[in-house]
Amino acid sequence: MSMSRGDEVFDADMNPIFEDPSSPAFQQAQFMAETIQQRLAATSPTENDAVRSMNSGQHVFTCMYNYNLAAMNNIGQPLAGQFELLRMPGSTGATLGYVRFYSMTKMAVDRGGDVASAVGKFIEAMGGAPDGTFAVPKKWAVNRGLGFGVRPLFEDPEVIDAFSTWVNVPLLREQQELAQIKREAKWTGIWGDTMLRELSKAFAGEVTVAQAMKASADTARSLKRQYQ
Amino acid sequence: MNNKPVSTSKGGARFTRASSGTSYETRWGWILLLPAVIVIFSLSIVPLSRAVYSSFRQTSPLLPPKFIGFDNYIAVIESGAFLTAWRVTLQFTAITVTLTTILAIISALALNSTFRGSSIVKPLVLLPWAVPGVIAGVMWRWMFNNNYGAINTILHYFGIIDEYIYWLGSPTLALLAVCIAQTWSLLPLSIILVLAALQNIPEEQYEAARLDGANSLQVFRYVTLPHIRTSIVIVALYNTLMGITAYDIVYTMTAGGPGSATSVISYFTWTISFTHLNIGQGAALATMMALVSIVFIIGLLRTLPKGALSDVD
Repeated sequence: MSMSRGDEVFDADMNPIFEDPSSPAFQQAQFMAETIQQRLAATSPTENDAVRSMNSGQHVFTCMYNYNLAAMNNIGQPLAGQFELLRMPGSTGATLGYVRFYSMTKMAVDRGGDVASAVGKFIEAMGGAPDGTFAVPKKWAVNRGLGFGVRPLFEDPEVIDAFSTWVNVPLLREQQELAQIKREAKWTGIWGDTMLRELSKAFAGEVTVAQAMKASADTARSLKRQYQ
Repeated sequence: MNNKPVSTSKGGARFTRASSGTSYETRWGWILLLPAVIVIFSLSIVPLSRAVYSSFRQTSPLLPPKFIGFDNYIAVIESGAFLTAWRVTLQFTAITVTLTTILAIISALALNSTFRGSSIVKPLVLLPWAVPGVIAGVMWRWMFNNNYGAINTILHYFGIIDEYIYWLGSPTLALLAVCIAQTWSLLPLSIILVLAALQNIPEEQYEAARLDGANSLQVFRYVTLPHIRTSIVIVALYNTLMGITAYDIVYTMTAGGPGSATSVISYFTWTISFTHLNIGQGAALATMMALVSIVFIIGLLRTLPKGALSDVD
């Protein structure tokens, strides 16, 4: 959501930029804290809870991964077919893009050429197109509504048919074109947990958004020093 | 003249046999103890020693290992989350121990009497004991759900609330909700312990008290309570330890939130160890948690009269 307002949370040198009240991340956090405290919005402990809230008609808008939209519009759900994808709000409408990540471990490399070659073939089969078709990503997409990072699948009639039952495919493609990668370092995973907790405190009214952002930025600076 | 060596010889023989018998028993004693000693040593002493050792080192998969003295202890104590986690833990423990102990005494007194259907109710009381903590947490999270939870539905049906309450979204209510779930989970064992003590009270003492004109409250105060005191202390002790080390119910119900409202010390330890990947600081927290638990155990055991535990059947 910070990206959809125009910027990330770290600069190119991995210094936190979200403490500044005019930064997109700060403004987004402020917006969320206010809407939650005004009881216009609520956080949900798990994705499943959010899906059930939508399917029971208690909530009408949510921000979640695509496969949850597939779950909500799945035949058999009470309000199936009534949920639509919207483009991310904000000046850029951008969003964070995730892809499945397959990697070869050092242990596999150390075991020699045959094992490394087999692992390479496995990765290619799982995420690539060894025979010209992205068989595994397509299977996940058609059967489970999982997203994919390969553009040719948007042209595949089977994928279009399957996705059309739960999402506006052209709009999804348009949104996916706006997906961005985020700046990462070895320590950003650890920092992410701190940021979530601080935001949660701000949403619960324990601290202000400014205090939460300052605490998160202090943690980021400390982790950067520690891991450099 | 000849008696002395004979006597010495006999005495020496007797002494040797006795000594041999003692050493035989000692040897067998050690052999029989050995499996338990090996298990306790490998599953308790070694991990505990390893945790204490790690607490003095920089231990993380992302950083080089090195000895850093008390830095881990200082870092966690200086973090604001440490004091918050202990405050929440003590609140959580105090509420659950009080609720569980009172409800266990009341329930055990009720179950100690014979009433219609008591043979069905008694096994049913044990049911929560069979439910794993994670399952109990998920179940209670659903029950407290603000949109479709059973608790809101029931309260609304009976007109107690006008609109659904966001139980797990409010800091105070979320803590109350996890306390209720923990109490529900701890209650069966507590009831059994108090009930066992109640069933050992001789009926003659009740008869004597009634003949002396004691009313129900006096019977409970002067006959029942002294007999179940040891069990109550054991219940409080057990539930205190469960409160200090509570993790599964908190994790599944609220994950420490909202904010830090239910971030108990064991959850904080898990977060530091496995989310922040700082095993050294996690070990320092675990060591401190163990020391606090020992203090509570000693404190509670001191409230018992001398030799009370040896009387427990």
